[in-house]
Amino acid sequence: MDNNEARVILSAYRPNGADAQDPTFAKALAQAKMDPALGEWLDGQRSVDAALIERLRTIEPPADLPNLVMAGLKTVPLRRDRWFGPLSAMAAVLTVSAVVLIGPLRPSSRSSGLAAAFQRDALAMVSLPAGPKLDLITSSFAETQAYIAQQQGPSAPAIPASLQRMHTAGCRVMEWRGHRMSLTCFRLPDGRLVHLLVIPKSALGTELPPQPGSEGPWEMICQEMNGMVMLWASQTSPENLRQILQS
Amino acid sequence: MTGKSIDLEGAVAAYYQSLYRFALSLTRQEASAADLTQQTFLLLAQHGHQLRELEKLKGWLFTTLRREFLRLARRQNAHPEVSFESGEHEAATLDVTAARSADAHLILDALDALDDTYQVALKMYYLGELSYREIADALEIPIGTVMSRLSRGKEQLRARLSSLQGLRDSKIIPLPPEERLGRG
Repeated sequence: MDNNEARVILSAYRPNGADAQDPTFAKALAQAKMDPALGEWLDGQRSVDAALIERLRTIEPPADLPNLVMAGLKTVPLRRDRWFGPLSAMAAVLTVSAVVLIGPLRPSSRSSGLAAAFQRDALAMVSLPAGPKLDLITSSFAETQAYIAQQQGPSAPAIPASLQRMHTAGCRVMEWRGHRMSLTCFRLPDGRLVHLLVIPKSALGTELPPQPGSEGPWEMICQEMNGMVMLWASQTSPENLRQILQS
Repeated sequence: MTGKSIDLEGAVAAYYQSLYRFALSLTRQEASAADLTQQTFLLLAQHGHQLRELEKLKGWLFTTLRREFLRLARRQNAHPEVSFESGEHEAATLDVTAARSADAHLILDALDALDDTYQVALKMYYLGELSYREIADALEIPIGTVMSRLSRGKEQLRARLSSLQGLRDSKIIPLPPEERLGRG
C-alpha cells in the first residue's frame, strides 16, 4: 500500500476514534505510525475533521423539536399488516387445526407445584403495570409467529381464527426454568390485551396444566395441545375470553 | 442483537440533533429540516419493525431521511440540479485554526457547493458521524467508493472552505444559494 492508497482509506477514519478497532484501517494506521509524512497528514486530517464536526454541532435544532416529535409519534396509527404468502398459509392451517384440536376447557380446580409456579410466574410477567416486556413490537400476528419461530420459541399449535385477524402488541421468547417459552400479546378491539404463553408440556413434568380461573382482574385459561401448554391471560371478561378462544 | 424492540423515545433523544443537522444540510430551511426530522421518526414508528438489527438504526434513520427528502423534492420539483465549478481551488488548504473558527453555516455552504457525487457522503460523515460502512449501506455503493468519495470530497471541501473564508475575511459576503440559483 502506498501513501496515496493509505490516505484514501484513512479519509474514512472518523476523528472520534470510533473506528480504532476496525481492521479495515489497521494497515493504513500502522503505516501512518511508521511514515512521518503520512502520520503528519493523518494528524492534520483528524484535527480539521474534529474541528469541522465540532463547529457543525453548534447548529441547534429548535428547542421544542423533541417534544414535537414525541407528540407526533403518539398519533401514529397501528400499521395495517400484510399477510405474507407462507405465513398466510400457516395461519389458514392453524385456523382449521384450532377447530379440530381445541378441546373442552378443563373444570376448575387448583393445581400445585410446577403448574402453579408456571401460572404464577406467567401472571406476574403479563400483569406488570406497563405491560410485559416484549422483544418485538409489531401489530402483525404473522410477524410475531415468524419471530418466535426464528428465535426457536415454542409455537402455538392452534390460534383461534378471531385472534389471527386482530392486531398484536408484540411478542417475546424467553426461558422458564430451562425451557423455552413464548409470549404473544393480542390487542382486542376495546384496547385490552390477550396474552398467550406457550411452553412445552414437558416443562410442567407430569402435572396437569393449570386450570382456568381468576386472579384479581385477570382471567386465565389453559389448553394442552400437541405437547404444548397454552396459557391465555386477559383482563377481559371470562365469557368474552371463552368466546374468543372458541371462535 | 436481532429482533429487539425499538425504544422510540430513546431513539429520538439520541439522534434528533444529528438528524436535524443533516436535514438542514439538505433543505437549508429550518422549518423544512424540522419537518423532515419529525417525518423520519414517524416512519421509524411505522416501519421500524422491519429493522432487524438495532445496530443499524442510525444508518436506517439517515437513509430514510435522505429518501424522504428526495421523495418530497421530486414531488415539489424543488431540487434543482446545480453544478458548481470544480477543481479551481485544489491547491488551497484549510488548517485547523481556520476550521475551528469556521461558521457552521459557512461549512454548510461549502458542503452544498461540492460536486453532487461527494455531497451526501460528506454530509453523512460530518453531520451524522456515520461510519464508512453505514454510508455505503445508506447510499448502496461499495465501501471503496465511499472511501474515494470521502477522500476527494474532503479535498474539495477544504478548498471551498478556504475560498469562502477568504471571501469572508475580505468582507465579500457570498450570496446565499437560493440567490445564486436565481441568477443562474
